[in-house]
Amino acid sequence: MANTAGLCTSFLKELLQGVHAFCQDSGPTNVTPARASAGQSDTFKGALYLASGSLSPGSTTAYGTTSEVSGTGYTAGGATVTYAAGQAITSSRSGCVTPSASLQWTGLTLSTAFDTLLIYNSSQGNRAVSLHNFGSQTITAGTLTLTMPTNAAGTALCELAGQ
Amino acid sequence: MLIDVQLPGADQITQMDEKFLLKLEGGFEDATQIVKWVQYHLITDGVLVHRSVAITLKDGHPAIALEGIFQGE
Repeated sequence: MANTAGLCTSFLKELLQGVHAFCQDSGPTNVTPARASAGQSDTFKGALYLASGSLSPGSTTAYGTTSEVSGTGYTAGGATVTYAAGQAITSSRSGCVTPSASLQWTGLTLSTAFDTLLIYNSSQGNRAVSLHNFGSQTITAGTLTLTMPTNAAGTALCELAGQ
Repeated sequence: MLIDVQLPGADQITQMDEKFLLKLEGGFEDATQIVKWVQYHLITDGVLVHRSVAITLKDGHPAIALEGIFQGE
């Protein structure tokens, strides 16, 4: 089986449960629990997976090491994903949030083909957020840079679209 | 210019002068991504010793929020 992309089904439920906080801004503070004050947010990470993996939005609920890449310059668990304050926005009829910086690994050698990025919440039990596919790649003594799309309706990395 | 390389059989990344290497560049674009890659090969035998890739994700994945309706009796 191949890896497939999408917002993880478990993530959609967890949003309704108030599990994930991407980037608190100066928004509402008259809420509980206490973490919903300005500036507090969870830490998210991005991990890479082999093209031979079988991750899917319906079955992937948390970060795991099965099919994760390994090699020089890559630390298991991946890299921290940055969401700057105010990055969660509304656009048209959508709520959008996209990492505010590229993900980059340097001095990297990944000899086995990989094609998937998993974004997950390391502050909340490594719960999965979304899977993103790209063309199968290998890296040799080099740099991998993943540049994020525009944070707006139709392009945001994570979008909840109203009808 | 020195280029980071991993020579065949080597565990460590070292550096080589670019003049001993053949540089190749390329890329492609589709509906979901823009990819640019750079490769360096040994001039002597063509072995790949460096590959870097830059991927721009074009868009993510929207979840459509649907409101339910009340049903009459």
